[in-house]
Amino acid sequence: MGRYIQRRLLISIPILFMVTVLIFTLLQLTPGDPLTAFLPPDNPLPQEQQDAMRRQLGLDRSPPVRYFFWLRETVQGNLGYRQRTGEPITEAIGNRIGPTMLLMGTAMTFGILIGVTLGVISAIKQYSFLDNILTVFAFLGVSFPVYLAGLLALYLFSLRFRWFPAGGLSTPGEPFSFTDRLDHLILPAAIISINYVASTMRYTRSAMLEVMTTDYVRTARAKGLRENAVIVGHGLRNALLPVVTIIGAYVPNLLGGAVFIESIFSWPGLGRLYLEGIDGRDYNLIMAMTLILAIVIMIANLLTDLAYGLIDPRIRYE
Amino acid sequence: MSDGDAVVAANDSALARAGRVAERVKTESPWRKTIRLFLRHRLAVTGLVVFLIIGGMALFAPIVATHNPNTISLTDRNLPPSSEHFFGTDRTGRDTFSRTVYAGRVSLAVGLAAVTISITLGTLLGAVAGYFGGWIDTILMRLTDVMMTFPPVIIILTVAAIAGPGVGKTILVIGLLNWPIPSRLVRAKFMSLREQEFIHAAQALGVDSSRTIRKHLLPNAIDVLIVYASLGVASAILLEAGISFLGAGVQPPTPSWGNMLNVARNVSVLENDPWLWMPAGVAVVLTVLAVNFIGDGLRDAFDPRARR
Amino acid sequence: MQDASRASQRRTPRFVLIAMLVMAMLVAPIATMTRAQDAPTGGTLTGAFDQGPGGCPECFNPFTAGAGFTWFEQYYSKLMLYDIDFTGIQPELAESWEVSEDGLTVTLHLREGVLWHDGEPFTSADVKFTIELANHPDSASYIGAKFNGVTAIDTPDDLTVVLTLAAPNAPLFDAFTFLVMVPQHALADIAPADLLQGEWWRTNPIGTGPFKWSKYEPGQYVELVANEDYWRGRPQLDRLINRYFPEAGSAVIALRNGEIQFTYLTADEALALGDDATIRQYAGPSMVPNYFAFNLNQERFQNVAIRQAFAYAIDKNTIIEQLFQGTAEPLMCLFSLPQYVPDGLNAYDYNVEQAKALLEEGGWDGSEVEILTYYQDQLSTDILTAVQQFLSDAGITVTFTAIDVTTYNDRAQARDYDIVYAGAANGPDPDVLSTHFESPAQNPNVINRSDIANADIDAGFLAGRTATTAEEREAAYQQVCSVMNAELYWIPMWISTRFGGVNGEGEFFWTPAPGGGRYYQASETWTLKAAE
Repeated sequence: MGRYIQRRLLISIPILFMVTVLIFTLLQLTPGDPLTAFLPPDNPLPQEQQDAMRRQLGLDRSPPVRYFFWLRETVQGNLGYRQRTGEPITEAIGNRIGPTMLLMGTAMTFGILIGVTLGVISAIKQYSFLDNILTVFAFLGVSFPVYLAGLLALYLFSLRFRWFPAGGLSTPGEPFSFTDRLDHLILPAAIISINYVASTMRYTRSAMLEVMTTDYVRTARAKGLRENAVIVGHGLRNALLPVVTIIGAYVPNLLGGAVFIESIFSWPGLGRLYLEGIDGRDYNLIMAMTLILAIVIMIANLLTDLAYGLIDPRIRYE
Repeated sequence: MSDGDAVVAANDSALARAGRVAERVKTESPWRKTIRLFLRHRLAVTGLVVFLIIGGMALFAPIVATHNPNTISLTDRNLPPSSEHFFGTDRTGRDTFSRTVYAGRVSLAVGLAAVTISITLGTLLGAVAGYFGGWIDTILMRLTDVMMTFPPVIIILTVAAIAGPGVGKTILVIGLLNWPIPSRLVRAKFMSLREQEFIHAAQALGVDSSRTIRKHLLPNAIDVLIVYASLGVASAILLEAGISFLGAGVQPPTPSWGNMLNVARNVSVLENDPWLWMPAGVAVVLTVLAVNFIGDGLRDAFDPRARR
Repeated sequence: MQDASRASQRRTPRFVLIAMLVMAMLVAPIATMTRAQDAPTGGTLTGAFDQGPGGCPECFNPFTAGAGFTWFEQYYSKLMLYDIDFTGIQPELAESWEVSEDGLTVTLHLREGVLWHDGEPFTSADVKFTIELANHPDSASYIGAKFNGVTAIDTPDDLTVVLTLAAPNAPLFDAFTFLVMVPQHALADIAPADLLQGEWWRTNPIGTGPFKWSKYEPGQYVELVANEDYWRGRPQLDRLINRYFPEAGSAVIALRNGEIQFTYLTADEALALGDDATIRQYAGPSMVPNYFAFNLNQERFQNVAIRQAFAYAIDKNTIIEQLFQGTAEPLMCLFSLPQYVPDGLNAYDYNVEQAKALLEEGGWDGSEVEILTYYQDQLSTDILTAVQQFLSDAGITVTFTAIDVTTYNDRAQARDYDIVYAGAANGPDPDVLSTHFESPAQNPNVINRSDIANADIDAGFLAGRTATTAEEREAAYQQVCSVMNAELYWIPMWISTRFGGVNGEGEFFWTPAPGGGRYYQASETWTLKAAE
């Protein structure tokens, strides 16, 4: 096991290198650069000044040289500055990471807990009225564009019923308070969690259905174990494999954020920052965020793989 | 009860099952059996009917549509539903019913084709990684790590800029972006199964790997792939709208359910003109539900363990 | 003037006072000057000041921001500004100015007693410093580039600035309405290149405006507090908060539920909220002409008959009536102010037969045309959908692509387009358009992405720029307007109306403007706050 982890960590170094090279190349192929993103479409800037700015942003050098500079600085822990605002990238990310983890953490925790529970219920009551209702609900949840769900929720719960504020992290100009933060958190977190509930539920249901018909669950029943013990101890445990896989695929979203919901709810998170980076062709910002995302994805997938071993001892890594 | 009893019980039931299956095989062909089992699944049949209706409407759109979907009429804009316009008219006076029908062509093609690509690719890579493990697994799964890292928006913008817009490219982009999840799902399944006795037995008997994968392992991964497929169709249909928004994808005035839903981004439309976006929304929901129930029915029909 | 009116108040009888009050209410700008002396009402105004096309959310460098001046002008000031209806330029930090007979020397007299937010006096040295800083190549400021014709800046005393020009420069005063004054004492030690994106702008900027910087929460809002020493008197409100809404629809919802008191509205939203009693609406011309511009490098567009065919094929008036619901004005040329538009121009009223005949005459090859735009809002999509159909009726196959501004800039710069649908940041001064129409041979700083080269247009813009009287300028631009109308390098379409919505109690003033500002907003008189 120790050797396996070691190997995984070792191989992640060349992989990360490859990711940054690929993203950097892709960015060069994307139309525009930080300067064209910076200029208002109808305000001219004399060539001399455009050149000055390109120099300042380091865009006058060739792409391989720029990549090399980026790599050299990054390895030393310097992620650089946002090309649009000059904000240090560590500061920009530092500012946004808290709100994003709060939002996504809340949404995912509730989404997964509710999703697994409903999935189990749905499976043991297969083809019942309840199961069908939950199925329809799950697909309603994923068939609606999330921005539309967000706007509709804002329209209903913020404007019509006045239950929640119309977005934001907190009431502007007011000192921090827990209830205020909660007030702002509930609506966006609920919308995001719907998606997690829906997909977790479907995967849990399907896995449970499969496991519940296997022989050893029947055996467990035959042994006279109580139904609940069978479901949780034998069924769910063995159904966890696909569920854990899906959860592992979610984890990077903890940092990736939810781009649309963060925009609609004016949530100052990383998803929005990322979008701003793309809009502004902010190479430094995109590179930094991709690098962090890649690291998180690798760790998440490693943890998922280790979890497989715990769930199903037959799975071994040599 | 001891563990020994459990094994005995398991063997008993396996024997009993084998007996039942053998009995049926004698009386009807496997295909007939599959169809019979599928037809017994009422929701699956409903799903199939709904899917055929939606697909048929899209396929025969020129006959089904009451108007040309792209003909504008600036003096008939934002009309509510009527006998002339079943779903009313949109903001440039186009018939929403006809547009919804035509939109099915793009959206169904994108949804089904993109999911087929990502499932095929994901299954292939996931199966190989899960079955063989070791270095093959490490390399293939690190490849999925890299794929998961790619920011879709950047890829879409780049593809749009280099290759230009088009439905085919949209399908490819969505299909290629989404294979990591099915591949990890299939791999997890395989890793657990490959250590079980029947696989060891197959290997000991000298059955070659590809046959083992196809005949013994893949059928066990169908469940999870069906779930992925029904969720994936929905997300592909919706992603298409986002891609079109970024200048790739289908170009206006061609309707797709996704771009019809985009109109609701305007709060006054969301609030006052539900007929502009609801039909497309309902179409997506119905399609995805239909795909899901068909999937459920198929799984039950193919599942040798189904107790019917 | 302010001092004089106060001195007279002490000695006048009551009925004169009442009459003056009535007058004051009728003439808003004057009223504001007296009311600012009253005891402040206090309170907080929260608005989405950077919504809509006039906003620039989280842009803090006023030398490079293409918009966002509605907000900048709350804490920075300029030497002069347009008046509320954009008919003339009025004094701000410059109390008065004169231009020499030959038009080559401009003398500015600064207001006395103006203090920076940190208490330092505002002087002519700050003016010289600001112009030089903005004009420095490292500042990358399109606003600074407007001062390229200034050859020397002298400061004979603390309150006088003398500018020497290479040639008479009529648009110079328009340029001053773009340029916010920044303090030399705070910025002299920062190199222009470091200041370009420096943290000064977003940590503790110092201006001379009615409000002072207080707090910035990234991605959320900026808070300003009243400047007790504002030269017009302390503002009525205690605080201004500018909230950021990445999604326009969310800002409208926040306005309607009373969380914010002000935001920009699209025409759709304005019309839909027409009978909502809680929302007060402001409307005004955008001063941004929308147009279709041809890529004249393509041979198929070089024939004027073809360009005219496009103009005749598009039913401009029906689009205005139906899609805009009448909230736009058709254009004859790219100038919108009536004094620059001569009589007797061709309106190119919808005539599909004429369009077909002109296409025939011009030998149209039937090739496909792509219309490129950066407008991604629903109304623009609807407009282009209609245009697509109109052109198709005339026999022209058109696709349209709406993309992000960055890709647009990239493609337009590379001349990788057929036709663009866009808006020119015009504003009241016609010279702003010279950058699109003048040939680079005459002015190397132009963008001219259509590659227009027309000697009459060049001559007209040059004459307008160096004119020393209003009549000369009008004649020059009328000439340009006629050529634009006949040649149709750009098909002028319309100027749309923009809307602002207010929900709350108290005084407020807003008018749409290119870039969102450059006019006197009287924010020291605002008392708008959330309704109880």
